[in-house]
Amino acid sequence: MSVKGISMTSLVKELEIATGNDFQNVLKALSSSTYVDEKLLKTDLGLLNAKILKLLRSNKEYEVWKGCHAASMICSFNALFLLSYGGQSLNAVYAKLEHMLNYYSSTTNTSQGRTLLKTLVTTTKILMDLMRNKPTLSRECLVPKLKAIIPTLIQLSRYDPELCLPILRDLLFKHSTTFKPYVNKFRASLTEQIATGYHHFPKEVQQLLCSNYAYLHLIKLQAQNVQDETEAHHRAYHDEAWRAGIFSILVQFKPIIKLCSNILDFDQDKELSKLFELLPSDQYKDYKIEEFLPPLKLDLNAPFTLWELPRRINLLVDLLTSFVTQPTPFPIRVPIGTINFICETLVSVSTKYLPVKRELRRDQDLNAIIADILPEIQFAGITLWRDMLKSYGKCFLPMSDRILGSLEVFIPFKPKSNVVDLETCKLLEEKLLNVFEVANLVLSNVGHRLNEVDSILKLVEIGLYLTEDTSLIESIFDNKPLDKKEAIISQNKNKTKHKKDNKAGAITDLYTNYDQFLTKTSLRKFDEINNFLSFIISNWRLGTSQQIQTIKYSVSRSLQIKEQMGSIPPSFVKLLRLLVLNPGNERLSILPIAISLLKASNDVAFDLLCHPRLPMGIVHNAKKLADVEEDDEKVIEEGTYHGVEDDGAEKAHSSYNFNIPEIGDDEETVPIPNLENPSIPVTNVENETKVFKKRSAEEVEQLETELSVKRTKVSEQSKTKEEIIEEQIIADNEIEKELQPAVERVHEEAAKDEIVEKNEQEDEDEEDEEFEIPEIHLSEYEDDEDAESDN
Amino acid sequence: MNEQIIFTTNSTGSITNVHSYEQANLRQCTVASKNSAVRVGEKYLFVAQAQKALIHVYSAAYNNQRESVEQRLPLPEKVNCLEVVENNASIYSGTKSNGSLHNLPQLNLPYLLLASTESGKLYIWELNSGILLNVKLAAHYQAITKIKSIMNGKYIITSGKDSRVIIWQTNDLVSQDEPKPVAILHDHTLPVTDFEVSSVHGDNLFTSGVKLYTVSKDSTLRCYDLSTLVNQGNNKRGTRQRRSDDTAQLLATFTLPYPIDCIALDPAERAVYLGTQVGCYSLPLFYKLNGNKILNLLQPSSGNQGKIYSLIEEPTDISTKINKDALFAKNQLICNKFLEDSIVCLKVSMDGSILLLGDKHGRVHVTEIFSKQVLKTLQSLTTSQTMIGEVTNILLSTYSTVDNEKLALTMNKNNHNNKNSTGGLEKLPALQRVILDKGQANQSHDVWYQIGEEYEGQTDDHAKNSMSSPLNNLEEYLLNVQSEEIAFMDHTGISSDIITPKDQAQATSTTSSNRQEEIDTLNEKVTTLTKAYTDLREIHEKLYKEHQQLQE
Repeated sequence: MSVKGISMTSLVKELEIATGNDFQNVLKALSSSTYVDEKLLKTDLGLLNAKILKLLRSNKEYEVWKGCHAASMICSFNALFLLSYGGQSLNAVYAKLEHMLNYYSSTTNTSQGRTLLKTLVTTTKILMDLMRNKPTLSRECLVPKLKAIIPTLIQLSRYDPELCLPILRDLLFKHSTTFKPYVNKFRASLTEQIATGYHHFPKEVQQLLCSNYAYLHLIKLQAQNVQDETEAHHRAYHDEAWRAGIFSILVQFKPIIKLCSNILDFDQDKELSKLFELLPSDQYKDYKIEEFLPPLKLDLNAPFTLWELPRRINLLVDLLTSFVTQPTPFPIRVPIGTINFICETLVSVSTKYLPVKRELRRDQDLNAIIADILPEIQFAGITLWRDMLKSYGKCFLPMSDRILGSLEVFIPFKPKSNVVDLETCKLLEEKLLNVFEVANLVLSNVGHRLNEVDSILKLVEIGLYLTEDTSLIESIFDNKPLDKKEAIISQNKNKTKHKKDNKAGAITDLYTNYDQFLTKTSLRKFDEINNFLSFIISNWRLGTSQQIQTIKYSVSRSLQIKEQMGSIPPSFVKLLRLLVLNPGNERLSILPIAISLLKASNDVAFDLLCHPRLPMGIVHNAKKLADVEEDDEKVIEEGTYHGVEDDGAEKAHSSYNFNIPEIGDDEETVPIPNLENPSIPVTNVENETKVFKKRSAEEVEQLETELSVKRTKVSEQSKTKEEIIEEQIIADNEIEKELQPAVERVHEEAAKDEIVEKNEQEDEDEEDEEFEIPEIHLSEYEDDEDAESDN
Repeated sequence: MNEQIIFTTNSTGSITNVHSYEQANLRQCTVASKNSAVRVGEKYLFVAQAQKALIHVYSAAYNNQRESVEQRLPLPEKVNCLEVVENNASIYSGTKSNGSLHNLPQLNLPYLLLASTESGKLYIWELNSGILLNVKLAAHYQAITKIKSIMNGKYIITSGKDSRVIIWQTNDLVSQDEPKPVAILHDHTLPVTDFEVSSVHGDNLFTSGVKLYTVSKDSTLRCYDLSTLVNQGNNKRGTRQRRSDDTAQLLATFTLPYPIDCIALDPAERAVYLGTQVGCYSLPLFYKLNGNKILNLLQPSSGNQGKIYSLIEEPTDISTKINKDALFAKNQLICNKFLEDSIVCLKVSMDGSILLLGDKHGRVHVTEIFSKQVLKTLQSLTTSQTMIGEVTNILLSTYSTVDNEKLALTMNKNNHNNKNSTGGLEKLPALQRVILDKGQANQSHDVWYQIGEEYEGQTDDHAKNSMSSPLNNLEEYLLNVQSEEIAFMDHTGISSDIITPKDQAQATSTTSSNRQEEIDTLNEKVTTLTKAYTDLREIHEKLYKEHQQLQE
């Protein structure tokens, strides 16, 4: 029928019989726009619809599967089909889905069954997504069907959460009203899954469970939940239910952390106990959200039960994160202050500043487990911070100092010292990478001035250490005659492997193949560390040793990776670039090294550094010319005027810039012959002296006005300047030249008398400031500031 | 693409476009001071009102502006200048967080609102909560003339009538009770009227070479290199020491014969435009000398104070030959003049080719820079013959019109999102009058916040493959189809259905009528074949007989 493309009749025939690649080609053909034609609607598309329905209703799994794909394909690309037959397709797909669910155990015991189930669910989702936001279609077809689809999916979510929960989340988000009748059912199902088997699910499912749980609160709480009916007339915010949800999670932190106080002596730290007291303990208003989490069973006599503690905290953090970092259809009120307290409290739960309770110190297992779970608890706080910082950005700016300070608590120290325990850091590696991320997130918003520098420097130290695993290998190879014990200690992270070896008896491998026992640092880890280091380097000047260590690390590791992989990963390139741009306190630039390393690759930044483009080159030429001529000029000047004028000009210049004490100094010192004055580029040697002198005169004039009146209007000044220039141009003769030095002298003397005595004792910058300040009460301000800074 | 112009005069406010003609009039808009209007997020326009302690919030969304005041935010006192510090949360920075990209949310507010008063106070509100985070008393000794946040809001620059320019660190302003400035520049001798900062910058102040251009009533334009601000880094702890170290280097000073009221900077920093009472001057920062020589006027010099140039107007009669080199030797620079009028407000368009000049009489001249031609003159649409007054603000923002054009045919994309927000705009939290007490710890610090929906377009995220829809990613979808099919093909129990789909298809699809047809055609074939066979046979027999005869 259509000029181009396969005719629908043959396509339909082919659709029925095609398999494999043929089928995919048929699907591709269906996406053609030739079929989006109203003329085809009744005949061809009707035919296709009939065929798809037939496939969908077939009792052969393969045909149903084909029907699903054909339906989602044609509906996606053919709006006409979607509008006229989309509803029928959805019905058919749903009917099959329902059927499969009814006989779930028997239908899904084969791989075809499982695949078909997945396809059915996916197709339902695709069709629903397509129908959404099209008012008539969604009113006529989608919403009525949703009433059946939602309960089915809820039921299915118990068997196959990974498949159904994303769809249910979408439905909750986009069809909150339609979802309303099923909320309680879904809540029951979700809470049961969370309460009983949360930690058995893979990470993705955990996230899905949490986000679905949070989205349940998009639906307004039902009337029976509001205790106080008298307040019903208040216009409620959109987010009342959501907020109640947030608080229902927030209040659960306090009791859990209280359990920690049975392990650690919270009383030792007044700050922490204050913080702890401030944690929320009341539900939001009168909204009651049932607590579904079972009470924890902890027994200090059975130390392993303590593992419940971090597990529960992680669950709470996950739930809270879902509440506060998920897209919502309306703005929500987020108590970031409270969340910040929770993070802070969690991070403070550490043996660093708090002792373990006296009565618990004997049991070795118990203490070991406590030592293990505490970083887990702290880490929960850090992840929460990370997620919050990612989503809320600058809102946490006022807390940044406290966050950075708290990060330090997480850094393990050697007992009773201020030295970072690098061995333990290795064990906490993954967690520390998150700490770096948090530090980066915080630091990206603050400027260069910061109060919390210590923790950053410590983190840099750790970062550099964590990258150091090659040097660890080297050290072992260098010191062959290590005895066994030492080797095991130095290869801390391979402890488990060694143990196994010991049991098996054959430990010779340990000596012959050291490298086999070392886990290579992954590129991802390098990326994280490089990010952190790049950030630090570009914002702060590190101490010499750290800077050099960083340089050494980046250069040697880049080279090593380059040898292995043939290229340098982007994060290393960035680090090298920043090291070149920020040499810190070092005198030497690593530019040549960096370029040699990146020789083969095209690096725009280094290219620009080595070959500055456009006007720059020309500018340098122009400047050079002027400079050379200037030198000539100076020689002439020195000969003629014994350098007096030159000197005077310079002095006048500096005095114009309020650098008055220098005048005094200059007065005594012998004129420096090679004074540079690049601000006077001169093009013509003959004019040289003339121009130069003019300028000096002009500036002397400025000096005069400056000193005598201190605050003259600049407009006047510029006028006088111009007048002078004009005069100079006209009067270009010897007399003028001879007069000039004398004039200068006089002014300089005047200047000296006036100011030097006043300021002799004070240091330079203060004078600077006093002179730069406008006369308005500024001196007062300065005093204030000085006083403050002294404090 | 189009560029939206929002301009206010003393008694009016208007929204219009550079390249099209619709114009909306903001109601009840009276503005006393410059830099008192600011775009807040995509949709809101804040205008500080004259003689009232109020900020009027207007809807300034690109596709549907409304003229009425959406919301009135009462303030503790009358304010002059406004500025916002954007939030730039990292989930919107294009990098994936938890495997998903996010669109901007409906309510996307900047982080801070800064406002200054006549007495030089600086108010700092958190927009998401309305909390007053800090009030810096006497930030300047006189009125602040402009506030601007730079480097992604890490720093804030204020200029004042007390002829100072102060650079603050945002972090200090929000977290310390008595924040100290990073640097104070006091080279100017009369009120600083306006300043501009390079729009492009690196990650940090160290290496970015950001430049600050300040203009003042003292007829000078001064240019500073801000990267020298952080010379000593953070190692020095002493406040005194730090303060003495932190001064920006003055690169150059340019003097004009007239007080300068405003400045605009080319987006690529090729030129600055200076507004004075006699017109607007343009100064190319890469200055052309005779021949091929081009000079970077902002080349750092060895002295700390930079060079001083005086700007002179290009002579109008062409006959006078200008020797640029000779003039330059006298430190004089030639600059062009636009529009002989009293210019009080300037803005450069996004492509740097159009200059908007606001004059004393409340008109905005849209001028092409290259030809110096006025393309059009905008005036506020007011019926009253009262004094319009001078132009106080010009805001310029670029927006894309692609969506509007396409969606005009179909539906509003944001239909779903809009349904919750009655009246189009979310109400903003009221700005508080009491400073947040940082010592008091038990505040929940509620912020109104919304996370943007996940980006639904094509992402190269393989975790979501199984869910990819044909519209987003056809290739992925077909690959998925292919891998799914294996489940059906592999299974021997089912394979009989699959391997002979033709038979099956025929078996199911044939009906009695076409079966008859089929029989007929087959019969026909049989007859033709038999006929051909017999023919062949005949020939064969004939030939065979001949052959036998020959043998005999």
